[in-house]
Parts: sequence; C-alpha cells; structure tokens
Amino acid sequence: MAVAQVPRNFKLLAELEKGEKGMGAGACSYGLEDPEDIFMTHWTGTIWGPPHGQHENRIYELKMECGPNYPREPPLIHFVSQINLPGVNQTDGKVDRNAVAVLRDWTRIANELAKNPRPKEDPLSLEAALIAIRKYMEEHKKLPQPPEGSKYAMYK
Amino acid sequence: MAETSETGSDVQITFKVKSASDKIHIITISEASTVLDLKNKLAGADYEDIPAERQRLIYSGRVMKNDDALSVYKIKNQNTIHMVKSAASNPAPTNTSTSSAPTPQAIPQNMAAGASANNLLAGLTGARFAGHASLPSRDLFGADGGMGAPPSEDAIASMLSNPAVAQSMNEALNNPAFVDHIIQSNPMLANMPNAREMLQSPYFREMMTNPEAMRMAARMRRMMAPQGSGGGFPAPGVTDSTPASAATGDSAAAQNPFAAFGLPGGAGGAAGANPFASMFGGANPFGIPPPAAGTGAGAGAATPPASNQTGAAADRSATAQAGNTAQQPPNPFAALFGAAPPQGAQSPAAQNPFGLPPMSPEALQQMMQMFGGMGSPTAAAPAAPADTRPPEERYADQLRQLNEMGFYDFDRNIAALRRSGGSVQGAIEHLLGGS
Repeated sequence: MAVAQVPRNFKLLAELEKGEKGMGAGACSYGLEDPEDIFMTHWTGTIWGPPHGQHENRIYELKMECGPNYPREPPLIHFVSQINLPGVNQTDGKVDRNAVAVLRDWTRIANELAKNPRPKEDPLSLEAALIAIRKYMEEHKKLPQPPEGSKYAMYK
Repeated sequence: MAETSETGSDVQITFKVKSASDKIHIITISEASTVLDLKNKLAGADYEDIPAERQRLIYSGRVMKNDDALSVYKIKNQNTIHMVKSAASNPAPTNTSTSSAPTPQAIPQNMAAGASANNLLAGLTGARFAGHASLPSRDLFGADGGMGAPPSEDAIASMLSNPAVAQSMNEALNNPAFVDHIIQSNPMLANMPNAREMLQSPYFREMMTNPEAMRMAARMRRMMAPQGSGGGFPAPGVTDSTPASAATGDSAAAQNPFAAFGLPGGAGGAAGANPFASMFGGANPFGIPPPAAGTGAGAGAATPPASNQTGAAADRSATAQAGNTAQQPPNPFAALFGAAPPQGAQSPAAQNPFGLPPMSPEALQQMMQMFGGMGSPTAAAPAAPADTRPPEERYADQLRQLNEMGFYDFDRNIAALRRSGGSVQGAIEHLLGGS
C-alpha cells in the first residue's frame, strides 16, 4: 500500500524554517545556500565540533544537495572544511554514505516510512544527517586534523 | 529590549542569538550594520561577555564574516543566529555545554571495558597477547556485537576448531590471574577448595577446546528441556526471554551459571541443582529418582532459590524423561560419570574418573563467552538478577524509538526486540527484513 509521501518541497520548507529558527538540537545549523533558490536544492550546513577531542571548538562547513527524489533518497553531503575522517573523500570532501548509518539506511527507512504513518519526529532530515555525521566525528575525535579553517581546494 | 542601533536610519531587524550555553538574547539592530558590530554588541557584559574576536556567529548553516553587513545574510525577523565560542586560547571552563560530555578518561583502555571491575580480561588483552591471531572475528558476535543472543553452537564449534583459539584458551588457563578472576567472580567456585585445579586440569581444557564437546552439550541441553522440547535452560547470555523460558530455568541460569556445577563430594544442594540429575534418574537401576537431592541443603545455599528452582525442573524432566534419556544410545556424557551409575545421584564426584564435577552446558557457554573476550553484560556479571519485567516495560525506550521511526505494530516490535535482545538496530533489521 502506498501512502502518499509528503511532497519534497513541503518537507524542505519545514526543514528550512526549523533551521532558520534554530529549533534544532543546537549542535549544527543549516539553511539554503541561496535564499532565493526556489527548488531548495543547495544547502549549507555547519557542524560544531564535538567536545573533548581534535574537533573541539571547531566549526565545520558542509554542502548538502537535495535531489528531486529527496527525501526518498538521501542528500549528497560534502565537507567544505577539510577534515580527516574515514569515509570523507580527501579531494572534494564527499561523505561516503556507507560511513554514516542514517545515510546508509536512508532508503530503507524511507520505504518503511512510506508504509506507515509519518512519525512525529522525522528520522530523515538534513538535521538528522548532520547530527549523525557529528556523532560519527565524535567516534573519530582522536584523529589529527588539518589546521582550522582550511578548505578543500575546490571550495576556495 | 528596545536597543537602538548606531545608524538608526535603516531597516531594523529583530532576531534571536542563541549562545552555546543555550541563553537566548533578542537583538534589534540595523540591517546595514556589520557582523562585527553585532559581535561587539554581544561582547557587552549585559549579553555574553565574550570578546568579539572569540565569537563565531552562524546563521542558517553559514558562518558569518565580520566585514559583511547583516543584510547579506537575509536574516528574517524572529529567526535565530547561533553563537559559538572559538578555540583560540580557551582555558576558561565556563563554556562546556555545547553537547553531552563523556569523559574519555573514565573508559578503560582494554577490551574488558564494561565487563567487570576486577579486571576480567586485562590479562588477555595485554601486550602478552598482542599479535595472537586469536581474537574471534566480529561476525561471531552477530549484528549487535555480542549484545544479542550468544553464538549458535555451530558458531562456537567452528570457533573452537580454530587451533589459534584453542591455543589462546590454553594460554588463558595458564595465566594464574585469569583463573583467579574466574574463581573470584563466582561464589560457587570461590567456595570450592579445588576450583583452581579443576580449571587448570587437562580434562577441563579438553572440554573447553573440543568442538564436539560443545555440540554434545547443546544436545544435552535439548534433552534436558523440561517439556522435552524447546530451549531448555537458556544460557546466561541469552536475552531472548520469552515467558516460557523465563518461567523455568532463566533466573537460575542467569543468577549463577556455575550453580549447575555439581560440587565434588556430592553436596546435596549442588546435586539438586545439577541438570545431570535427570540423567541419573533415568539410568538409576534402583529406580530412585533424585528429588531428595533437589531439596537438600548444602553448598547450593549460595543461591537457594535458584537451585531449588532448577532442582524442581530437573525433577520434572527426570520423571518425564526417565525412559527417554535412558534409551538415548549414544549418551555423550555417560563416560564422565564412570562405569557404574548406581549411586550416581548420591555422589557424582565419586564416579568421576577425573575427580571433576560435571560441566553444565551453561557453564561451557559462559566460558566460551569469557574467552570470546566480549561476553555480553549479563554473561560478564553472573550475579545480575534476571529481568522479569514485562517486555513493554523493559523495552519501553526501544519501543519509543521504533515508534518514532514509524514502526507502530506493537506485537511485531516486541517480537523483533526480543529477537535482537533489545537492540533497536537489530530489531529494525528484523522488521525490515522479515516483513
């Protein structure tokens, strides 16, 4: 049985509002790269480095791309700030979706959500992805990191 | 909060600034002022009291640059800017609330983390064993890293057929500290004068390293099942506590897996707690079932309710299966009890050619898990009481999480959580895979 998905744009609008109003968990922030982007495809995000490790007191910038099939398909996520983290491409900062649980299981969870009524707290969102990446960073907090503020060449 | 901006001629915007300590300031300022202006304003003692150069402001995923005018960021009224303190010379401990703060120092550095206070496997994970290619692979522990049900008998058997495992097990048993730990961690063993010899005897090693022995133990366990089918006594690590198993041997096994060790000298209570009693019941030519032993006092007093319960279970199976067990032709453990079973029920140790107590399958599995290096918490702490709460209470947290992910079928959720031993991840796998 196919229950209609919440249309992409409604969902992204809700996410945008949540991001701009800062209603999230407060360990990350996100918004449209260009506030005039009516398709809401390109997003920027920041993750505040998890404490007690190399990431402490750093801010990591990311780019996120929500394709036409979002939220059935996960966003494409790139680090803009250089980061030494397994699963992050060291040329363009791309986050391997297999490295982060919520990205890896995204399609599966989306299918399950399509069968059931939508839960109050949406498990699939840009914020959920950022939080998951932050948690993943925390698991690797001991890795030495490039100087703060350095960015991948293609974003300079 | 009617703050007037320095320009005043321009469009005013009002927004919130949320600091790392979750304080929220409402700011009204001209859109033409720069980010630095805003920082200077926030640096004031009535706001954050943090120097401007150490503030970082983030709006909608973007780090705001000092020279930009606020208008660049198209901040809408009532939206929120986040403020984060930067690292530069940051000795002040005033601001630590950015997120949960686990203290890394508190985590033990070896693999025994979380197992037991008195250093369960430090000896095994120390430098001495570095490079031993013996640590079992991750697969052995299943999807949830050993938090779920213990490995199947086949998995254990295949692990044991690996010579490296046998070797490291021998190493472990040669390590007096490890043997000490096993003895200390179990009141039954601690009270046993010759526990050390037992653990270090070649016979015991044979048991621990022989895959066939494991298979036999599993077969035995099935035979011992009170109803003649099903799981019998669950192993200590088993978390799949369906009501049936919880009702029978679960608590006994969980409270003291070694309770099933018969004590040499044939202490009454221990004999009662010994699942092998039913064997003797079946094979006893005098036809005397061993209930008296089941109620006897003695060393079993260490865990009186447990041994009584097990004793009762053994009784039942003894009567129910008296014929059955006797007729099982290849009784794998018959040899353990010597050639003459007649007085077996009274003094098993006397019959034992090695002078060793019989091993129960639970004990074997317990040992397996210890040697696996990552026994589940219940296995590592044999004294933990069995969880008898109803599943909806026990899994309340996990159920809530599943609900949030959109799994609403209560019965299926419970069933899946049971299978995964309470792991949400495992339950999801099951729900998605099995649907």
